[in-house]
Amino acid sequence: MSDYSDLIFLTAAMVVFGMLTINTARSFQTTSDTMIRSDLEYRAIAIAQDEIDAIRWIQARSKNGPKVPMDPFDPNNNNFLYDDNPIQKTITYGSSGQYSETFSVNREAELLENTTDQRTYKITVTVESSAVNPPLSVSLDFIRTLTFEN
Amino acid sequence: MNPGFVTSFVIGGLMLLSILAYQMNMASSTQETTLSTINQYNLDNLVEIMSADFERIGFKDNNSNETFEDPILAASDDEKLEFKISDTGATIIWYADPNDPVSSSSNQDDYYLYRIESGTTTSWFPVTYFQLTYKKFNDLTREWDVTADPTEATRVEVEVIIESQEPIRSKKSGQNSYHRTAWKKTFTPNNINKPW
Repeated sequence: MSDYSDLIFLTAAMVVFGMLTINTARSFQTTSDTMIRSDLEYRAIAIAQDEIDAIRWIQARSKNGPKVPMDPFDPNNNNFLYDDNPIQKTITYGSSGQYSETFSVNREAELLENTTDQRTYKITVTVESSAVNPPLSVSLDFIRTLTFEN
Repeated sequence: MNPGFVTSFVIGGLMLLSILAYQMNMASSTQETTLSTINQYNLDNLVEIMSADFERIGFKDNNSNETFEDPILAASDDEKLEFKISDTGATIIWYADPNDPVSSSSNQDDYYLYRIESGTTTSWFPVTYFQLTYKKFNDLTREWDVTADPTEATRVEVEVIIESQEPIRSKKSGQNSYHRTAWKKTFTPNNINKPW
């Protein structure tokens, strides 16, 4: 070694190289996190779609006489669908449930229009997963009009 | 020997080792990211085609007064779904065969899921798990019950697991790790769920 300048150069090179590796590792970690979240989001969307499919054809009934609708989206009604809000859904995957994950599913019905024979609702399904930090949330909206039969 | 040379070689050697480790780590991470992306893309591809098909279940006009009424066909089981897609009686079959492994992949667990349209195999996808569950609505309990008879089902639950065809990590013991992604959805096809 000719003098201390070589040692300083080497130390500087190692510091620069160390910063490079840390940044690269951080970049890959971010990519990996994004992929895990997108994978989870994909499954959460499927669960939200299941909830919307479940109410796509649901009917308003009027068992209690004319003009007394049994509205499944009305919280004052006995057969209100979402009185157990939010529900925890555990989905198992694989043969004999090798893997499982739990989602919190919240359903809300907002009355948009109310006439004598029809009510129009905006149904918002929100699916959340706490498996990642920060928690992941997916929301789907669905507009549904109920017609009441006499 | 000049101690300066020795010190330089030691430090240089350490640097070289660090660079090699860094390069190997980066190559491994890149491989993992690439295979994971391809796997997710494959799943999305499969789900898109499957969703377009399964929403059409029951699309056959048997009676001029009652449209879209043909149920899931009796030949269906937990790894096969057959249904009609037109008035002429053309069918689509989704069919997985665990005894038909994918020969071009290093993954020992994947097998083919086929899409057969009117007798012609149009697509095939490597999967590691494919399961169909048929459900019908119970008027008494107001719940969806699993049924063994696909012809009376009005809902189909589909579960798919796919793994990358090449390992994302290999161990010296020969055990390989593959990127795995799963998807589960319950289809409620409009044509066999009409309320009128």
